[in-house]
Amino acid sequence: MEQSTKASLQSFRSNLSAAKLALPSVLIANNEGDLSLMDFPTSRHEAWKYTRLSRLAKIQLESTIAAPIDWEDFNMVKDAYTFVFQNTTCIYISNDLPDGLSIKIGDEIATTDWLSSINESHVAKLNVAHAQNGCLINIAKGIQVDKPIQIIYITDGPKQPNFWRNQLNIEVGAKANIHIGYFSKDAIDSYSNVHWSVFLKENSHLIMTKIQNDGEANFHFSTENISQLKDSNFTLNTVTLNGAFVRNDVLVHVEGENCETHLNGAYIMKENQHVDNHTTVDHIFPNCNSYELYKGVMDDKSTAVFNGKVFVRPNAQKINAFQSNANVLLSDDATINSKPELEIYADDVKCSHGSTTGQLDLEAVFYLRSRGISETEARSMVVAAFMTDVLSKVASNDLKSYIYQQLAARFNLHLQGED
Amino acid sequence: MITIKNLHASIEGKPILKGLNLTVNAGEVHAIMGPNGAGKSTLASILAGREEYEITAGEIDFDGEDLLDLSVEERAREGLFLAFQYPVEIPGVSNVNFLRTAINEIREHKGEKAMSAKEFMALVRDKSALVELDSKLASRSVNEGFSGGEKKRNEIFQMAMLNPKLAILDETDSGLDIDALRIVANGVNQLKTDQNATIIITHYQRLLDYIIPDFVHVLYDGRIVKTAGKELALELEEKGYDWIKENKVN
Repeated sequence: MEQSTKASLQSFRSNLSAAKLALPSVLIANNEGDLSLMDFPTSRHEAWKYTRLSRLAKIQLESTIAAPIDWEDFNMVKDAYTFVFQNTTCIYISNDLPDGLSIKIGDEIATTDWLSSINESHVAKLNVAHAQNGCLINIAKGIQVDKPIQIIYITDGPKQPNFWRNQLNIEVGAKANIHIGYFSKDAIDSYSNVHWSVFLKENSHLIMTKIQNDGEANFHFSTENISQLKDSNFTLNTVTLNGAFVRNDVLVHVEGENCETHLNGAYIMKENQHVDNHTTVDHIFPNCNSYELYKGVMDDKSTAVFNGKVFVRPNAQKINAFQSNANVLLSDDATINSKPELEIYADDVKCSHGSTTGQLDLEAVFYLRSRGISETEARSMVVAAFMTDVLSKVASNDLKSYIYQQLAARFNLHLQGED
Repeated sequence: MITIKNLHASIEGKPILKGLNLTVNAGEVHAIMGPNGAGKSTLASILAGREEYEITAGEIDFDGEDLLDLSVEERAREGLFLAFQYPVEIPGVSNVNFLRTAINEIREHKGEKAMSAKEFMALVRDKSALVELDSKLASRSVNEGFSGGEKKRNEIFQMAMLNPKLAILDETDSGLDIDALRIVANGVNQLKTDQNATIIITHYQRLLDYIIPDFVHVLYDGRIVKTAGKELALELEEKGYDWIKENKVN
């Protein structure tokens, strides 16, 4: 018999404060009841098969007050409308927002502002139960925001719990580009749990780029629930550069015809790091396209999980859905568990999926060395080349150069901008 | 320039080279011909530093350096260049960017200043014209989507950019049509000085109509079994290798 371990989730929660955000009853009604019956999932749960939570379960989180910091140290791009959270405090707000872009922080967000966004995982339910702060961003009808919106989250201090909950409304015909950065400072055995509910109205356009650059001992959970209406175009770029443990759950509901969905992921991991990307694209309506490309490079004893699901519902004809996951393992001890899945219930669709995992192309490394390039540099060039196509999908040049700088500093990877 | 003495090498325990001797001086062009399986490409691979081969005996002196002691990149920096029989496609690595890295690593090794962007681009223009390589190809990913002829021209373009002391052309003529062959040969001839040397490894005499060798060697069963002037290539073309094999047996 499996020993009941409900005690561990309850004990994990024992020091956590109740939610401070005024969430609506549709979210909170059954949440406590559901959580009381739940525990940390084990490897018996399909969605957590390769991602163990036992070490996290043993940590006693404790919120502490962090000393003021200079958020500029974590700034990714200069020219943006920026909001910064240090733990659960909003420490910086751009004050020159253009017409049509409105942002509410924390208790400015009314209960009625929150739209229903329900996710059954323990991660999302913990977020509802303990959400401390977050933002609600609204891009008004027909508005095209002239600069990127940048939201920076910094987890500061050991054993720090951070629960952020956010909502993004892109109204009819509106267009925005949002950069989200997750960082940490002295975050030993800390925990960040962030939830984004994203609503794309008809004919709206959103590019959302997440940079996950947490410290080497932080546990990070990120959930995005996206709803796309007719004629909308959504891109999510997930770039994971650091973090002891990173779990991404992305769920896209394509709820209208003629939508386009792009999910791009890049993860570059070393040491004992673990990254897990779970994505679902649910095609409910016909005549839509979705494209998914996740690429990873794993060194040392790092591990990665990719699980991408595409559902095509019975009436969703004329769907083009493409999904691909490619990995390069740089060491014998690195591991990738990749599982692309398609579930198709319509008969007039074009779908493909694939997964590849290989070693570094040593013939290419030899070729470069034979021209006088050092082995280290040659390996780095070949790795960078492998990642180039997915990273080139990051739409903002400023953000791309930020990513390239990080790769150069952390992995000695030198990517070149597109000429 | 290079002196190979009594070289023995094997791969996975199987001996390929069995006492090869070869001396090449500055200003010379040497052709190494021989039947399939004689060890021609093994020799090229060993000179470039491929690690799959085990050197069981012998030594190679390259301008006073013990070549076998140098890493692949050190050999290149000392001025050795291999034009690959099968040039590798490297999607995502731009041809000119990698060459710039290579040139500057070589310059750093020699204690020279890095080449400026302007100087480098002028060199690219000059050298790509030499092998009639479209400058668009020069800036594309290394060999990606190149035709067979373009790949071989790209090898000679790289050779021109790196200006090596010793170039080894491994079956550079294989798969080339007559125009590409002429372009490649013309490039090699124009790069020839009395300071550098070339080893042409080939199956066919054809290339040697365009690049005139000072010496032609026949490599057979892991050894150079015959050395003569350029006329030997024609004789081999006419008579094949059997007479050499027989002579050797007798």
